[in-house]
Amino acid sequence: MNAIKSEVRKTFTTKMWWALLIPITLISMLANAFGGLFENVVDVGDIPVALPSLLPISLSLTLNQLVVFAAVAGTIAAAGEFRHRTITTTYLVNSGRGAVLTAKLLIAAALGALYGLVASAAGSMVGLLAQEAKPDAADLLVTILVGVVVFALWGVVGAGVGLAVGNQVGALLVVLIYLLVGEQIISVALLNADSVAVNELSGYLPGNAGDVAVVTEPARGFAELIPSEVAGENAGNQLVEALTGVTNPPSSVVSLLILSVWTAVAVGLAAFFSGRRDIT
Amino acid sequence: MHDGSGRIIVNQISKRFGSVAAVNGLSFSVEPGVVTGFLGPNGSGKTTTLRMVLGLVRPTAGQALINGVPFGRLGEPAKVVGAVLEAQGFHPSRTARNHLRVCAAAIGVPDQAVDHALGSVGLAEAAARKVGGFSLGMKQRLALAAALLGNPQILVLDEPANGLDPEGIAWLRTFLRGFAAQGRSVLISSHLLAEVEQTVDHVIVISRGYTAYQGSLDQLRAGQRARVLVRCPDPARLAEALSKADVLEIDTLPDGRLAVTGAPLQKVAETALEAGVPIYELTEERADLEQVFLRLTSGQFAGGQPPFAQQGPPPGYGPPPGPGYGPPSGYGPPPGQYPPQHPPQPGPYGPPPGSGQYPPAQGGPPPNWGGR
Ligand SMILES: Nc1ncnc2c1ncn2[C@@H]1O[C@H](COP(=O)(O)OP(=O)(O)OP(=O)(O)O)[C@@H](O)[C@H]1O
Ligand SMILES: [Mg+2]
Repeated sequence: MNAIKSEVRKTFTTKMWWALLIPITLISMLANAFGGLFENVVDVGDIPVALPSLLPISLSLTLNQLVVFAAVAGTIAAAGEFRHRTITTTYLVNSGRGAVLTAKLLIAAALGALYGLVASAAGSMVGLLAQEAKPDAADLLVTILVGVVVFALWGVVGAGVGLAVGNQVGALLVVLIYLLVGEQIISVALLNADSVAVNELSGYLPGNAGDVAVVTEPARGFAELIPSEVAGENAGNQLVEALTGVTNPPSSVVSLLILSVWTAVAVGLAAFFSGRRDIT
Repeated sequence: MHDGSGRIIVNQISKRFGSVAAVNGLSFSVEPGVVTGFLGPNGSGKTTTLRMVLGLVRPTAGQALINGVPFGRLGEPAKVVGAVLEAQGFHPSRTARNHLRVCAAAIGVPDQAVDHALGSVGLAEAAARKVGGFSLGMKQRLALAAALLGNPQILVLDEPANGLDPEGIAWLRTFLRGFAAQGRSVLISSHLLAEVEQTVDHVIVISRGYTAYQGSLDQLRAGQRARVLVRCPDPARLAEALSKADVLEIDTLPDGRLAVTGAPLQKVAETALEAGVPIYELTEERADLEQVFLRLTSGQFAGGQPPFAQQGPPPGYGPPPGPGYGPPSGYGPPPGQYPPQHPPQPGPYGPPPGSGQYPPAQGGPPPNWGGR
């Protein structure tokens, strides 16, 4: 499809895509070296059981911290066209606004997935080298797979917000303020309510849904490796709750679906507003 | 699908931005084989109209059709119409070639078209440079290259001469004339008639969002009135003799010359001879088209005037607004003295332009895009 080819060229002929990869790679490497540091501090001989690998869980937490970059990349890829006024040319050369919208959302998904992959690869590499305990390959791969999907979805959300707002600074503010501050505030408000049903709503916020999706499998895997007399019953779920701040978190799959619904909302808004906007 | 005619039809199109009525029921058509000029002062709605034609701005009322369909239904629009719009953007860190490769991919033309387009606008050498470092004129050329990529049948250009050097302007003029000569259509906007006078065949003049004139440039030119300037030792006697000979539109210029309107040069000379007034200097002066244009669009900033009727005469024959036309004027009859005529008549002369912003009305070659 012409529009997609054009968007690919557009994305890879500016610095943005690799400029954002630098912090992603560095942060992921640093964060996953910690499992190794932890092993060095604790005298492994003191613990009666073999310590399980921390890599899947540390990688999942790293991915949750870094997913904002996927959203930012999607936002800039879409809304940058308004900032540089290239949207005029884009609409003049493409076969319709719908084609442009579709191509931009797909590119944002691909860019998000790429970021998720690079973050996973960089983190895993360092983690495998630094840590004595080796992870179960399946645990690690599931973490990476879910992480890549969540990154792709956040890329689409970013692009959707960018196209819906039609202004790069405005769209970035919306995405960053929501992800870095807004959702925390809403979560705290929900968790402070007396009703458990209201507490559970925190799992339906997009940021939390993505976090829960990524963290659930490695947290369960980690909990299983610890004998239940040490960890207690239902340790996996408690760990997810502790790590994400969500009460009674839904399953990984349900959380992915929740994030997908939010993504669809962003896409709908983008389609509505970008189809109507006057380009002056 | 579209009909392939190469025609643009704008039908009663209007656009409001909140409380601002940018375009008010504008209608015109652009025909293949000619260059159509779209003229109007700043803020008269040119850019808004062109953007409505190109599907970038949604009209409040009316419609614009290209080849019989709205822009959005052209299918592969860049293969039908290429456009260079005012302040069209580029990503500053993308190179010229990459900018065009992005466009080529969207249009669906092979990458060879990119180098061809770069060459044809004279940017081959700058192809690998980032657009952020380009001059205004280079950006205009790059925008034109993008417009040409799809080998379109119609070109729409909004103030394309902005930033172009004389050579570039001359090249553009030749290019557009050649483009139209192939039976294709060109719509080009400008706020200066002189700028496009050498290029266009048809003109559409708009003022405050209304059509003030639509027709051929020749017709507009034919409506010009000439006046005869006479230098003589006894202007009063000559004026008296002229008025006896039924020549009544006589004014005295600040330098003492008489300005006679409505009589041929020969008649003035013969009358002077009969009256025994020696003549030191006798010249015929034609109104510049720019003054016609100014008069057509005057009142844009005066407020409160009714819209002009299409093809109708311009309102008011007072001195044109703008720099270089300061008082005293007083070289013409008061407003309304002329009966309405078709095509519109330029008004009488104001004092000659003083600021140099407008071309002198007398002597020299006609103003053009690059020659001065
Ligand atoms: N996005 C917008 N929002 C509000 N008003 C606008 C917008 N775009 C244009 N206008 C107004 O519409 C009117 C027509 O503007 P337009 O840009 O079409 O004029 P123009 O003929 O192209 O002028 P110029 O010769 O300066 O380029 C102006 O009054 C302008 O202020
Ligand atoms: Mg304009």
